Parts: sequence; structure tokens; C-alpha cells
Amino acid sequence: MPDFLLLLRDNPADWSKLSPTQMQAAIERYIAWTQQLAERGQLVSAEKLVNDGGRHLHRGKDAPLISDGPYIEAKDVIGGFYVVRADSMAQAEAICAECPHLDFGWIELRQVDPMPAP
Amino acid sequence: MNTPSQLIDDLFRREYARLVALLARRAGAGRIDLVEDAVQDALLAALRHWPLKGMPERPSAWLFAAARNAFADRLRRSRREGFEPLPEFDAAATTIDADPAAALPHAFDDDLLRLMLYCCHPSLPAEQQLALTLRLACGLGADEIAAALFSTPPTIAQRLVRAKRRLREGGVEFELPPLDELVAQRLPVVLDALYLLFNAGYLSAEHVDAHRPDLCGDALRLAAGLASLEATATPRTQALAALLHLLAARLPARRADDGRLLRLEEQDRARWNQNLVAPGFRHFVASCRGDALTRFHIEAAIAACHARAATFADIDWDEILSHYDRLVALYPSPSAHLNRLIALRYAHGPAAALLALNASSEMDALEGQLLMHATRAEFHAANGDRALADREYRLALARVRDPQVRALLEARLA
Repeated sequence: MPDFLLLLRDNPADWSKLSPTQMQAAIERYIAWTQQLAERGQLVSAEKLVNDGGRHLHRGKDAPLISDGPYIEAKDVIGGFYVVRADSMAQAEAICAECPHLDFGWIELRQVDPMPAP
Repeated sequence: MNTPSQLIDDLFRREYARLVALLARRAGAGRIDLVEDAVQDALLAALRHWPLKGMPERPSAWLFAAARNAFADRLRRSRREGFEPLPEFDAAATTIDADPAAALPHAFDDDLLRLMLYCCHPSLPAEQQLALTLRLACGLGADEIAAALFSTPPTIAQRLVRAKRRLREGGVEFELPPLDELVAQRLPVVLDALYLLFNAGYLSAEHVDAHRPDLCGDALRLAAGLASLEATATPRTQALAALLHLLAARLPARRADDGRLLRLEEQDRARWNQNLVAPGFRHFVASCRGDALTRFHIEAAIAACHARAATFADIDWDEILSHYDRLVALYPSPSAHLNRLIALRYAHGPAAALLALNASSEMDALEGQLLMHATRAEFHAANGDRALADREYRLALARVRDPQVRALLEARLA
């Protein structure tokens, strides 16, 4: 069964507009969704990323060119990711369709491509 | 992944108040905006972390640590931006670290009392006190405050700015005044604000809505909290706690499952929240000490009469009327007079109530308003005067805005 990467993308500024009540309601929805995945054995891992744009590295003349990834003015940042296990892309899509993140941002869904065995 | 447990109702709102109270006491009231931002940061951190990594075992301790860190971050940032911090800033950060009790959620403590005193400072007009209480002590966003007070978000935002500015210019601090000043001058203002808070919750509870902040519950909890602290457990505080418990206990019966408003005689008393009735009576007994007979005492006595009756037929209207007699003598107001006449109608009959209504000038200020027309209509209907009743119901309907009240009145038309 393949793994799928769910990149949680959103505009960081949008979160700060929520009231405590709205934040709690959102957390309860996310937790219910992940609990369901865990119970079905579909949740492989999940990580939050640090609230910055990270770094971009390119080959430079003498040394790698390292720049800060965009964050402060960025409208679309990856805040974290889930790795889930599903039968197919279609099932992975169905899992994403239920994810509360769609109400706050959007999800980039990528299928993990394991190296074929000989 | 942790096994998630259910977050208790209103956890984030209550944590907002607790953490603001905690940080503001140490940072000083002059930095209330920085404190609010830090607490918001902490809740946001939970919102970004918990969905991915699961809920922590002790959410309150987690949030406290996040708020402490966010506060320290913002202090450092304000220093870097050329802002010269006062020496107590560093002290503020360290006292939070040194206080292990700060990580635990408290039921109602001195910090929360200081917060209430700040929000309900006598230098603020009542509407600013209420807005600030809703923001800091109830953790409502501007949109939610606007909905609760039938106002608009920009109006509320302005009101909050003005309130905080007035407190800043007045040099008001997060502190406990001397006991006699606390009890004689400051506490009464807080109690009045909690009464208004409960009222706002009562009026804005249009439909049963899981996500609408339970302001009646907040007012009740804060009043009970004040009644639990020795310094503030005055008879008047106990009376307010009694009143709010007994009113809140009967709230679930007010509406049918479809949201329709029910008249008192139609309400299903089995829906009352019995968990609130017993504490309500306990607070009432505790309030019957000393010499002071306040408005809260009388209103609590009336609520107790209702709560004691097993059925509508068991209500002792004569006793309720005698309480209203006392109320209008001590605290005359048009609405108190009108409520007295409603009790009189049940005690002595609608004809007597109509006579009294027409003979009195005490309720002139209410003429032309929805409540007056609806009351007259009810009296005429009970008196067998269908034509006059329907005329008054129509006049009431012309002024109605709430669709549930409209439905109630339309059902009363012949």
C-alpha cells in the first residue's frame, strides 16, 4: 500500500484572525480527523515545520548561495505535513477531502514512489 | 500519536483569560497589548502543533509554557526595535519562570480578580467595561463581542481601544486595592458588569448553537468565583451568584427543540439544569446575612420562588408579588414595575393587572415598545377581551425583530 505526503499549505496571516473559540473548534476538528486515520491504521507520521520560510540553497560560484525562504509576506507557506497510507491516489484524495485543513488553506498531495525491488 | 482526549468546553477562552491575568500582573497593565499578543501567540502555537502531534497530556501547562515563551520573545523583539523597556520587564519574565503554580489552571484566583477589577474599572463607562470584560475575561474576538452586544466589529474595536487608552492614561494597574475599597467601591461595579454579561448571554442565545460562546455560563462561573474568595464573598456577591445560578438553571426549558420560544406555562421543567438549582439555593442562603437588602437579593428571591415550584400551578405568585413590591419601592424602574404587574396578573387576575397598568404612570417610558404591547395583549387575552388582545399583538408584531419572538406572538393571535 503506497504512502502519500500531505503538505499543509496556508497563509500564516489567516490564522491570527481566529478567536480562541474558533481556534479550539478548529483543533477539535483536526484531532478528530487524525484520530480517525490512526484508528484505521492510515496515519504514518505528522510533523509541524518551524514558522519561517526555511532556506533556499543553490550552487554558487565559490560557495552555495543560501537565502531565506519567503515567510513574512508569503501568502502560501507549508506549515506541516502528514504522511498517510492508502490503497490508491483516489483513496488518498478521499482522505484529504475530509481534512479540516481545506477550510483554512489547501493541501498538496504527493504519492511516495518507492524504489522497485529487482 | 497521543490518544486525544476531549478538550473541555471553552478551554481556549478560559485559558486566554487565565494567561492574560497571569502575564499582565507581572508585565504591568501598561503592556496589556503585548500581553494579549503573547497569549494569542500561545493559542496559535497550539493550533499549529496539536493537530499534527496530538494534544499534550496537560493542555493548560503546555499553553502556559507557550505563553511564557511568546511573552519573552515579544519583549526581546520590542527591545530590538529600539524600545527602551522598563527594568520590571526582565523581572516579569523571570517571576513567571520561578512560579511553578503558574503552570496549573486555577479555579478562580487573585489574578483573575485583578483582571476583573481592571476590566470593570469605575473610570470606564459601563459599555466599555462590558466590552473589555468580554475581550479579556471571556476571551471573545471582536466579531463575537459584536454579535453578543448586537453591535458591529468596528464599533467594538473602537470601544476596546478607547477603554484601554483611558485605563492607560489613568495609570490603572493590575492590582488589588485595600480590602475596604475593594468591597465598598470596586466589587459592586464588577457585580453590575457580571449582571450585564449574563443579560447579554441571555439575549443573544437565539438558537442552540454549540459554537456560540456561553456568556451566561461565563457570568455564572465568574460570580461563583467571586463568591468563593473570602475577600469578595459579600452577601451581595452571594445574591448575584444565587440569581445567576437559578436563572441559568431554567434556561434549557425556555426553547423547544426547534428553537421556538415557549411561554412559562408551556415550559418543560424536567429540562431544568438541576446541577445549578442546588448551588443556587446554597448561594441564596449564604446571601441572607447582614443588613443589606440589594436588588440582587430581591431578584434572587423571585428566582428562588420559580425554582421551588414543581409545576407552573405551584408557583407562589403572592410571594413573588410581595418581592416585586419591595423591588419597586427600593429600585423603581419602568421594567421592574411592569414585571410586578405581570406577577400581579397571576396573583390577582388580569382585570386587576389592567386596572393597575392604566392607573400607573410608572411605565410611561415603555409605552409604544414591544414588551408593553405584548404585556397588554396577554392581559387582554387572559381577561377574555379578544379584540383588544389582537390589536396589541399586532402592535407588538410591528416592532419585533427576533423571528422566534415573532413566531410566539403570531401563535397568540386568535
